[in-house]
Parts: sequence; C-alpha cells; structure tokens
Amino acid sequence: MPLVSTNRLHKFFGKNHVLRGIKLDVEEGEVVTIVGRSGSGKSTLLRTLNGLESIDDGIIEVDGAKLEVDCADAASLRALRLKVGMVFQQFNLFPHLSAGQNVMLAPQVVKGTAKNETEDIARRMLERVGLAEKFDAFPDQLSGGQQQRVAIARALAMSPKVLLCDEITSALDPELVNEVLGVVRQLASEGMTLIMVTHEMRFAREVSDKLVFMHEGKIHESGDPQAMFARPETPEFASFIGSLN
Amino acid sequence: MRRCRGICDPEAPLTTPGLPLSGEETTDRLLHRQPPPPDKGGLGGLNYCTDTFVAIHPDPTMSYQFDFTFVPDYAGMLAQGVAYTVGLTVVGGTLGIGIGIAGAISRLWNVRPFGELYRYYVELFRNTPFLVQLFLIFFGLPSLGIKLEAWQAAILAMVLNLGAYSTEIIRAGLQATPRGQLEAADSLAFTRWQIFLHVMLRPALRKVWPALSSQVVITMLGSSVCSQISTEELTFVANFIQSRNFRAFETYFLTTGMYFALALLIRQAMHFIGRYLIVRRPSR
Ligand SMILES: Nc1ncnc2c1ncn2[C@@H]1O[C@H](COP(=O)(O)OP(=O)(O)OP(=O)(O)O)[C@@H](O)[C@H]1O
Ligand SMILES: [Mg+2]
Repeated sequence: MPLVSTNRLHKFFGKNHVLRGIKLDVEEGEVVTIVGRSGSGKSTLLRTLNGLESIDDGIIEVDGAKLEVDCADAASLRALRLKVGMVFQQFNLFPHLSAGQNVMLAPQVVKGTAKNETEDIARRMLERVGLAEKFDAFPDQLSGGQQQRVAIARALAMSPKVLLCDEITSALDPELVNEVLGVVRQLASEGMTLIMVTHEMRFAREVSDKLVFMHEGKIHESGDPQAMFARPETPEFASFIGSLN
Repeated sequence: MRRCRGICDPEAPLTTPGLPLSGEETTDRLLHRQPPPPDKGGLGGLNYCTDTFVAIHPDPTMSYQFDFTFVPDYAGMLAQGVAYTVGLTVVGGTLGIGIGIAGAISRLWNVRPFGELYRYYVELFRNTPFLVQLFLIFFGLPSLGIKLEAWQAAILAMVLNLGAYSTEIIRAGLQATPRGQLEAADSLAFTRWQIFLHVMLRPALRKVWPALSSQVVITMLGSSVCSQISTEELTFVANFIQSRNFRAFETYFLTTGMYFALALLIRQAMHFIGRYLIVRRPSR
C-alpha cells in the first residue's frame, strides 16, 4: 500500500483542463521528482496533494487520510494537511515571528502541544537544517537560503508523513542553492518521503528514486531517473531533456 | 447648560484662602465681570497690569492685554478636564479598536450575520457628523427607554465612531496579508480563526498602526464636541472658565496648546504601544 496515492485526478481552472487524470503512487521513504515544461501542471498537482487547490474529480489518499471530490470538508482537509508538509518557492515565513517562533507556532496552535515542548521541537528542527544559532533571528535578518531552511524546519516540526517541495531553490541566489539542496539531500537520506518539483536536474537525478515527467496535465513518462535520462521513451521527454542543455 | 458639580463650583476660586492675587482690583480682573478699563491710549494699560504677564500691541489703536493670571486658580479644573479627555480617549480608543478588529474580520470574511451588520454600521457612522451621533445617543436614545449619563453617551459615541473608522483601516491591513503566508498557514493545517489570530492580525495592525494612531488622535480631538452634552472634558472646562473670566483668547489659546500637547502625547503613546505590543521584537 503506497503512502501517497492519487487516482483519476482532474483539475480545471475555468475552461483550462490543467490536470487530466493523474495517477501517482509514492511509497514510504521514496523521493519523487516531478519535471516538465512551464504550465504542464506540476505546481497544481503538488498543491492538490495538500488541499491548497480543490479537485474536480478523483481521489487523493495519504496514509489513510482521504480526500474525494464530494467530501472535501474542512475536517478531511485538515486530516490530509496534518500528513502533508509543504515548502514553497517564496519561503512564506511569518514575518512577525522569529525563526524559532515560526517553527513553534503550528505545533503549539494546531496540535496544542505545550510551549516548552514545542520549543524543544523547534530547536531540534532548526538544528537539523543547520540553523540552531538562528532561533531568535527574524526572517528579514536571514538570507534567502536561511529563510528557506527555516521554512523546511517549520514544515518538519509538524512531523508530516510526506514533504512537498515546489521549486524551493528557484527564488535563491545561485550561491545559496546548495545549502538548501544539502538539507533536502540529508532528509532524503534519513528516509523522509519527498515529492518535489525542481529545475535542478543533476540534483534530481542524484537523489530521486523516481522521476515523473508531466506533459499537458498528464504523467507522460515516469520511472528510474538514470534510465529515463539515458533512454527517454517518449519524444516529448526526449525534447524536454534536449532543451535543458 | 447643565451646571456641573464639585470641581466647577464657580465661587470656589474666589473664596479659596491664600490666593496668589488679592485686592479688589485683582479679583475683579480675575472675574472680569467688567471688561478691562477703557484704553487710555499708548501704554496706559501698563499700570493696570504690572504684576502680570502683559503683552501690549504696538499699534496704539489696538492694545489688547493678554492676561493669563487666571491659570493658577483654574489649574485643578483644567487638570481634571485633561484627565477626563484622556480617560475618554483611552476607553474609547481601546474599545473602538477592539470593535474595529472584530468588524474588520467580520467584513473581510463576511461572517454571518456580523459582516452585513458591520457594513451598515460603518457606512452610517462614517457618513454622519460626530455631533449628531452624540446627540442621537444622548437625546435620542432616552425616547427608546435607554437613558445614559453624559459620560456614558460620550464614551459610547466615541467608541462607535472610532469603531467604524478602525474597522475599515484594519480591514485594509488584513486584506494586505500576502497570499503565500495564508497558504503556508493552510498547509500547516491551521483553521481560519487560527490564521486570523496568529498569522494575519499582528502584521496587519503593524501595517495600519500609523493610520490607526491618527484616527485615535482625531477621535481625541473630536471628544471636545462632547462638551455639548456637558461631559466635563477639557473643552467643557474651557467654556466654563471663559464664561467666568471673559478671557476668550487666553482661555482658548491655552486650551489649544493643551490639545496640541495631548495629541502629541497620544501619538507617542500609540507609537510606544505599536513598538512593544505589536512588534514584540526582542531588542538586540
Ligand atoms: N490560480 C490559477 N488560476 C487560473 N489558472 C491557473 C492558476 N494556477 C495555475 N493556473 C494555470 O494552470 C496551468 C498549470 O499551472 P502550474 O502552475 O501547475 O504549472 P507548472 O507546471 O507549475 O509551471 P511552472 O514550471 O511555470 O511553475 C497553467 O496553464 C496556469 O496558467
Ligand atoms: Mg510551478
């Protein structure tokens, strides 16, 4: 039984049919990278996985938390989101809270965990992303790379079953990309289940267990990244890798 | 006008022993039951006021003599007026901003039925004069069986007035919450009330705090209108003093200065609250 599974997933933006029947299974501990051209629906797919976008047909199931078209009420959304963490391209830290408070807030407010316990959690999570000493720093006092690592720590503090990362290095200066990728690499090696969208192909090939190529709202080709890069099966994916160099 | 009690006993300053000024002439001048003696031209008035702060207009055809000697005798009263005005502002400001926060989120999310009610309330209070709102509450409500003391009516009017303006100010601040932060909170499984309380409110207040501070100052200045229903705030005291000493210019000049100082003070206080309550950033 896969940890994450979607079936017949459809999503429209008005008349724009963005997701056209996505079937995706992700096993526990698996690292899955989604690639594809701009507008192919990668972000939309990730966002449906934690209910940031509603779906028009199909089913999403993450570790027993189920979301279907006709029963996407607040309670099932919440149940799903408790299983799924997300890291965004723009970090989206809460600017009025320090790094530590950013990480503490959700466990405290959403799970009702006691404050001293959440502080413990926050310190451990910040240490995990290499920012133990930045507990009291505010977002505007941190570099982009540091902010993104705090955002990762914030998501991890809710102990999600799976972490979604949507182009989390795209807003960073080139010299800051590696510190964030390093954290992701470490999470992957610790057995965290990851679904990410990235343009860092070398990184994707290196850490991914599975590569998913999206094209026009469908999973066009997927499989082992090394094999796919070596022998693309579809002309679309072949031209996609061709366009990378 | 209703006679006020206690502090404003009109005879009090005259019978108080140990007044700094004495003698019939001084008392007269203090009271100004008669206008100052007719101008004898030139420096004629100088004799008359040698013991007081005097300024004589250089133009011989017009020599008004400034006389602030009444101040010490009314200092207590003025202080009470100031305290009253500050009290009205603090209570009105706190409750008004509270109403504004509740109104802002009700309007933003159209929380039923409050969103709709707030819309009418805000329109009503932002498009009518404060004085008329005050009269409606003080003179109008008794017809509906709601009888309020002057101070209660004054506070209610100020709270409702500031509440209406701050609803719109704070709503603008809440509306400016970046979408990414809302999505981050959503993805962390916050409920929408948790998002409002923990993610939206403080940054929103921080953003609109200068506008909110100005509105509180405007409300404080507007409280002078409450003298019209005999609320014993600063303007009421000023009117009373002026009716005793007929020193309109000096009295209102002084009052102007006091309001000015109060406005600066309240702005400063709001700044302080904004810094330490809303930002709550450890000083480093
Ligand atoms: N909120 C929205 N409202 C309307 N249309 C949208 C919305 N979000 C995305 N779309 C459309 O859905 C399609 C897929 O967008 P999506 O963001 O999923 O693409 P993507 O694969 O992530 O692209 P990119 O690589 O540029 O991030 C696009 O045509 C886009 O214009
Ligand atoms: Mg995208």
